[in-house]
Amino acid sequence: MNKIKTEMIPGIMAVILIIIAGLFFVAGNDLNPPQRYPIKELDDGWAIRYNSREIKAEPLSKMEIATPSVADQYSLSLKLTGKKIPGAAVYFRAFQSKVEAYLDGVLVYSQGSDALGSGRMPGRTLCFIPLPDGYIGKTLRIDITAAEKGAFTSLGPFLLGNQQDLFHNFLSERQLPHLFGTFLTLFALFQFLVIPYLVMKNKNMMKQFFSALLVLAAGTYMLAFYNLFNIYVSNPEVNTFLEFLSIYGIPSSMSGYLMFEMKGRISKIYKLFTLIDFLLLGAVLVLHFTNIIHISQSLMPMYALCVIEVIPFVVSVGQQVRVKNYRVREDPIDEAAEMIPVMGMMVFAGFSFIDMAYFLYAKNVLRDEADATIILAAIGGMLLAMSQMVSFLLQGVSFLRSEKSRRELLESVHTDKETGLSNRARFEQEMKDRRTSKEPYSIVCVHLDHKGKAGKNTDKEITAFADILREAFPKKAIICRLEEGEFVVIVDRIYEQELSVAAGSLDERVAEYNKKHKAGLQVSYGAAMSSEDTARGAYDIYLLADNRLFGMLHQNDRKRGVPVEA
Amino acid sequence: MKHSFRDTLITVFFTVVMAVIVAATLVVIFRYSPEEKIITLEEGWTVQLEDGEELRDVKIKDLPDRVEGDLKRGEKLVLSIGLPEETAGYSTPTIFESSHHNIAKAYLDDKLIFSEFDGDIEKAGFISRKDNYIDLSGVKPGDEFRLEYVLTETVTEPEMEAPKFGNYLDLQRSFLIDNVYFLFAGLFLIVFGLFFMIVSLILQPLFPEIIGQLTSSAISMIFGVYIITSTRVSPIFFHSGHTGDVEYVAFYLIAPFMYYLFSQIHEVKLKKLYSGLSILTAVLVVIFIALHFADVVHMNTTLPLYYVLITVMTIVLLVYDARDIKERKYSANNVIQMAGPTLFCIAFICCITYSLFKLVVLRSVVNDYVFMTIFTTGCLAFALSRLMVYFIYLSETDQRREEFNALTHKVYHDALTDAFNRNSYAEAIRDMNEGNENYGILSIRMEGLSNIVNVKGHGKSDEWLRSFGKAIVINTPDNGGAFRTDADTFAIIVRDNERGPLEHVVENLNRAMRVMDYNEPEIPHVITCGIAYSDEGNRSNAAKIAELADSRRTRT
Repeated sequence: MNKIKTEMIPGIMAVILIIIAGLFFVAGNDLNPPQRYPIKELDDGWAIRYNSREIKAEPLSKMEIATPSVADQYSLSLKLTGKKIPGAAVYFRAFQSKVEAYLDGVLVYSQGSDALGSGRMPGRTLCFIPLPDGYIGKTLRIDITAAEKGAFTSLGPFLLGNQQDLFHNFLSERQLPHLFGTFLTLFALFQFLVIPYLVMKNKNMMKQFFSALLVLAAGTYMLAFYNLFNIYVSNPEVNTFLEFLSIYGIPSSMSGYLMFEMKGRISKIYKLFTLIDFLLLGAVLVLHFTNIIHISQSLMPMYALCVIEVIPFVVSVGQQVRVKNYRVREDPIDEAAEMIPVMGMMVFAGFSFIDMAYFLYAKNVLRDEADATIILAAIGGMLLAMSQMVSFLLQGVSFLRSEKSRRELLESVHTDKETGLSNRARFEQEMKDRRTSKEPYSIVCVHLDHKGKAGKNTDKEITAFADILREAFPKKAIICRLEEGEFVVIVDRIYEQELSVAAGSLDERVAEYNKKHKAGLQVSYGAAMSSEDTARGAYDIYLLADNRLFGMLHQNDRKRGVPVEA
Repeated sequence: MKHSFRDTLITVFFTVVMAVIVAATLVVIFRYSPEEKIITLEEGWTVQLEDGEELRDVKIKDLPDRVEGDLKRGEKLVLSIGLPEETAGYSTPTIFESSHHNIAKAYLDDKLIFSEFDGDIEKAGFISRKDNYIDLSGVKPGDEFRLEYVLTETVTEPEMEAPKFGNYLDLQRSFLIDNVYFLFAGLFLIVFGLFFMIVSLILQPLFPEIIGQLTSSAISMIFGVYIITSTRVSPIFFHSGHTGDVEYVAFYLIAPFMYYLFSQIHEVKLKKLYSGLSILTAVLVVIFIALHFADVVHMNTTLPLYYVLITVMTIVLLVYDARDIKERKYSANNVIQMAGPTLFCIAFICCITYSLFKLVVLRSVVNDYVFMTIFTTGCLAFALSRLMVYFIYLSETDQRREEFNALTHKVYHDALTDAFNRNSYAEAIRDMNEGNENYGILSIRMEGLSNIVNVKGHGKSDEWLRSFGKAIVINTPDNGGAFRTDADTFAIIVRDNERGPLEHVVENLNRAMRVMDYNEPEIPHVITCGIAYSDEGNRSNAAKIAELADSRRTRT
């Protein structure tokens, strides 16, 4: 199988998997659970009283209501008609209110009475009012009492149906936020587990902590906004608290991230912003838990800060054209890997800001907060997670590629081009590495000369001698060429006897070469072992060997009649 | 970068603290208590078998022991119970039943209140585990509740949990809370795999090396799909009559995909072994799946064979892992990549051991959370190790860049003197030839270096070279560069032909020589220098200008 085909296998497998998964879903016809009974929206026919005063009845979806103060009560009554549904219930979302439901004056449901008057922040509640078997023809009255100032700006929608159907309907409407919110939350929590290790390796990785914090805020916000914590948690206040806490988390974590990501003055500005954000959050939490101002009532300062905090970033991006504020990246992949999460973050922040602004507009101007969605923030959250994944993959690519070119570069940097042996750079590196190593080693200094001429050897002779050295010494030996005819052999864990054998072999091979090529190579060497003086460094062992080399060199010179200078 | 033991301890400490904070936060947040009590109907059942035999006062957990022999496809199993007094007063009375391989009907005082299909098992398709919420509106204590199961598979023992009685929302939410770990882990693994797969497919044309990411993305998705379908949390996201098929297909796909991943991680020798095993298991799995969909043998029957297959896979992996780690064949990168699959395989071995223990020692087939908890944790460890790999790449970026810079420095510089090396000199000469700038070249030779080598050894000559190299580099003007052109010769090239700066360098070098003479009187520090400028010859032939500078070398 050739390379291209092998590389295609995972792609083919992925496509097959997606097709198989798709076929299963298609075979299921309808992804949503089958509805056993119809679900009806109760929009018309309500009699409504506001603080015991009757007000004009309209369809609930079109009705504008007064912003309630604490303890203001809306009372809605409706005669239940139509075909009986087994296991029937009426479902609606109650916003920070106490809810009581009566069927023909008999209390059938009560929710949130403990929050009213306790001073604690009331939550957003999912109300499933169960209706007994004989509910047809009876009058349902729902009393909604605001537990917080401006708790709600609209009533309903109220849905009548089978309780199982209503529950499944609630979940199926929230499939995507549920899926993606869960993913983002766990994605962040996973990152938290790895962050201490990352920070130990590289202090700059603290930015990953803030990045994970932002992802956590995005995931939590998504789950809380769509009331999904209400499914898993008994206390409805938790959902509301997490929703507002996550909104506060977004600017704080972004400032933290930019503090590490940006350079120079901008980084200092974001350091200040991060401090302010966390101090503000601390103050908000203190005020919340002491029930002075609830977190749901104190969003305005945060929105204002958000706007201010975006300015330096926008300005710095503008300056990018002229001045580069980011750390200079030589590798474009590295640069992309660093920029993409920042862009993802900005998109998420922008989208969330639009959604929050729309929510405020819907609540205060359109007076229909129940219909507000955070679809843009959800998309932004997904893009944020994807941008991080792109960054991870690019970092991976960059790492693997640089690993390859590092190996090549290392080889080229440490190789003597003429002989293919190691060069001085490698020798210096080996000397440095052996400073702390406890492994025994030996160093042999070798000097190549030319009989009679005492001058330079030809290139051919140098190359041939390099081969002789390779053959004479064990394979594990590191043979370096320092200068023209100056060589050093470093061998780990070698006995003295083995060294003598290698030296003998060297002499023999040189003699053989001289005989064969009628050449006049003259070799001198000196060896030293690390065990001879362990207290000294590798460079001293080298000098010891070099000293011994010169003993031999002078002896050879005397033999040749070359005068030796004192 | 090397870290001390103290650093490692601090890291472990903070990781544990982080894990405790995360776990504690989740435990504090995810607390649910039903509004009204949930009653488990464990005891007091009357069970009627296909052959008419009636078992009285049966506990659900004892049912496998009380029923002798196999239960065949198409056989009926009827369970009935009188509802206890405590079932009174519930606003939405519901029974939650969870069982395997059957279709059910439920009766309340002989009145049919619930039915899955019309009782025709041929239309039912393959059914694995399923959960039903049976509405008991209008129920009174003492009413007889009857469950009629028609088995859709031949099984050795009936697999069912004790039905639970309570309000619908309490039952549904309790079920979700009990399974929240599987639900969240499953969803996470699906989206994690899906996103990585999408991103990999998009980036793949630009960066072919990330194609390998697709396999682990696919495995993540398979894990997620298996977890949410086998724990039956999937119906809150999608409803399909084929959930059982999806569950088993996902489970069966794990082995071939995992082998394929091993083959991608390993190099050369083991690659072939794992590729072979991947193809072999893929063929077997395709046969199992084909037999399942042809209704010849369903995948629940071939499960023991598949367990053998996956156990062999695990043993092969662990044996090779242990051998390779012992022989230090793995690179650090490989170790991290293999950590995920290895942790998953260890988790899987634990799962199988537990299942055997449960079956042989405890004699129980009742569903519990132990198997799935270990399995899911193994899957999450797999995903976490993928993330770890990328985080490690991320954290090493700065270190890698520094190392790169150091290496690049070595490419252009002489290791002994730190002046530019011969290659850089050749490049500079080329640049001068091609450029339009004027330049000046100072040629310097260290006289008597070879003599010093001969008499004092390489140690002393290296020392002199180092000090001299330093002096040259320090004295080189800003618009120039210092090069070591040979063992004992250097050159300084300046991008200007203005007379003066190079002459000044020569003066400074002489001064430096005098200092060296003072410090080391036993070594004769002698240099010869020559200067030539581009306007003294052909500017486009820098080598000639350099030769001119060489020829002008005189002792200063």
